[in-house]
Amino acid sequence: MISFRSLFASAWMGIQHDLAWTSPPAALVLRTVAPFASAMTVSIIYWFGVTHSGLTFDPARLAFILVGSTLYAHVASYAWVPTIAIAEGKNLSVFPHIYLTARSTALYVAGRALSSFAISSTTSLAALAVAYYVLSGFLQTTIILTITPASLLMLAVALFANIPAALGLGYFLGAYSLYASKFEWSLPGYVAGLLMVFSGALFSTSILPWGVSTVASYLPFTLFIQASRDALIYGNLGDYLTSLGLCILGGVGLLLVSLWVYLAAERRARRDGVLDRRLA
Amino acid sequence: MTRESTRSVEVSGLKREFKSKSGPVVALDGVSLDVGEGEIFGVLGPNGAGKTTMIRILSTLLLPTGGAAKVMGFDVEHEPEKVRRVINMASGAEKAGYDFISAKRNLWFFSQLYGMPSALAEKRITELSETLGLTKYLDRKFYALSTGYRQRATIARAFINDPKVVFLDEPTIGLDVMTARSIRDFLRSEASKNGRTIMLATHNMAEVEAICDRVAIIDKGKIIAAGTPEELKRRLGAPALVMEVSPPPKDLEMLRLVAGVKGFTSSADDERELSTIQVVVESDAASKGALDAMTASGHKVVASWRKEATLEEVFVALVGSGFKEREEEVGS
Repeated sequence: MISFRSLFASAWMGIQHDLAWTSPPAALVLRTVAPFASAMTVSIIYWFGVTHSGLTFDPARLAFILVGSTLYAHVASYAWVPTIAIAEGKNLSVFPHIYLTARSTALYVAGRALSSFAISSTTSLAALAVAYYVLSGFLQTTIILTITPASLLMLAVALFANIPAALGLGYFLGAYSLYASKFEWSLPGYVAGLLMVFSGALFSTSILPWGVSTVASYLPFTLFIQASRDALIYGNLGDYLTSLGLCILGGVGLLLVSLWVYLAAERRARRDGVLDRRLA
Repeated sequence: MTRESTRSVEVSGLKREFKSKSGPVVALDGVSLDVGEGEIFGVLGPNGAGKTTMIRILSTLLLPTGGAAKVMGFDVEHEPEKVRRVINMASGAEKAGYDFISAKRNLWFFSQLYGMPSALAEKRITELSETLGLTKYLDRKFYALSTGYRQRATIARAFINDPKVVFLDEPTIGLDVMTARSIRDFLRSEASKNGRTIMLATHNMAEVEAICDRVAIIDKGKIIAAGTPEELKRRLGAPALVMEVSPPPKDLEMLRLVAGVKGFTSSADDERELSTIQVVVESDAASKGALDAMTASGHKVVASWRKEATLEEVFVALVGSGFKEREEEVGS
């Protein structure tokens, strides 16, 4: 009971904290700008590159890029929340008091990640929709996306299926954030850059060097984006279920390992006296 | 596990060493003390004496490197979750709230982390706000509260879970006189009416004298005296000597040679070109000796008088210098 209450309160606080700095609708609109701009940029670069090099423009490829870039932005905006929530909590001096309310801050961190999941799902899907309409008009082409109740349900399931993996990555980075007195604000950016290359967000992982390509293709984030493409572009239920199953399996594994690492880091942080240390 | 003790806080040989680039730093060096239920216990000492480290260990934010401590019978090292269920803590040096959320919602958030039913939490927030004079400002966002009201909200948070023991670190630092007084009144009432134990780390001697039942004076990680404020002051024997001396002496070593002088502090007034020197003496003879030594060193004693000892004089008598001088020593 206490756990659910803590989780719910942390998620509620996350939504308040992320949206209450201005009016919530304005905050949501502003949060849509980044994934929209990112989707537009990569899509136009693709279109410009293809049309100026004599290659054939492929609307299916554009859909591939559009879905990959917006869902990558979705993952990128909520997987890092644990790191930021800890760093910010230390600077606001609330983190040690949260720690003192329970056995661990892990539930708080999970609640903050879930609140950010809700916000970024809304903004990323809004960015995808707006980019779809703007690009369709601007490029005067039909972007091949299947928008039906079934495909949207499949997308929604994929979004939820990716939560364990995103939270797992969050706990890993959060363990660092418990200790860090520098880089904790920028670390998510560095990891996001790597993830963009290895998650198949903009190009297929098969073009990566051998070995790297195999590992990248089994990353839960790659599988999540793949499942989302299966839902919205290819409509292949078998591939979708395979990607989804592997994403959940890998995500749960990652979550269990990272939670263990986080709890160990928390115990060590208490020993070393850094739980209430303010950060640079 | 059942409680093994009726004492609220039991500390025995507590040690904490920190690693630093220049070698190990001993923050607590074998501290032992007991605090009874419903008692307001002050831990008084200059900055860097080890007060905050002790509060951090007792509130389970930090592990000790030696010794043992129990809160309400639960071991802080091995039973931190049980300790956390009966305590809370707050520090005056932090603002401890989410800026864009109202004070009320900040308090509600923490009540939920403690697992309080929402209706009970609302009732508790209302009660605490009324007692602390926060009611009118509850709906203001945290960043929009003045320092005083933010601190009231922080204190309210420290009592939100109905704790048996509350650890406070400099709870009135930086506050105006009226706000500090109202917080002290609140703390006194919580201890006397609700039987809460309050452990207060501070370097504010007036605060300790105003509300603490007992006090431990800490210096360089060691308890150097403990008792009621009155007991500690009685140990000095004679009222302190205060003298205004011109020109300001470059050093006061001549006072150390006077028999019966236990220690001294000084502050210079550049505008008036004189120093005010407070000398802790054992007897009237020592007081006369100090005046003579100052005159003999070529300085003019412009004025002198005796005053009742405060806890600072107790500290001076015990370590030979005041808080300010001690902080400079620790910092250097």
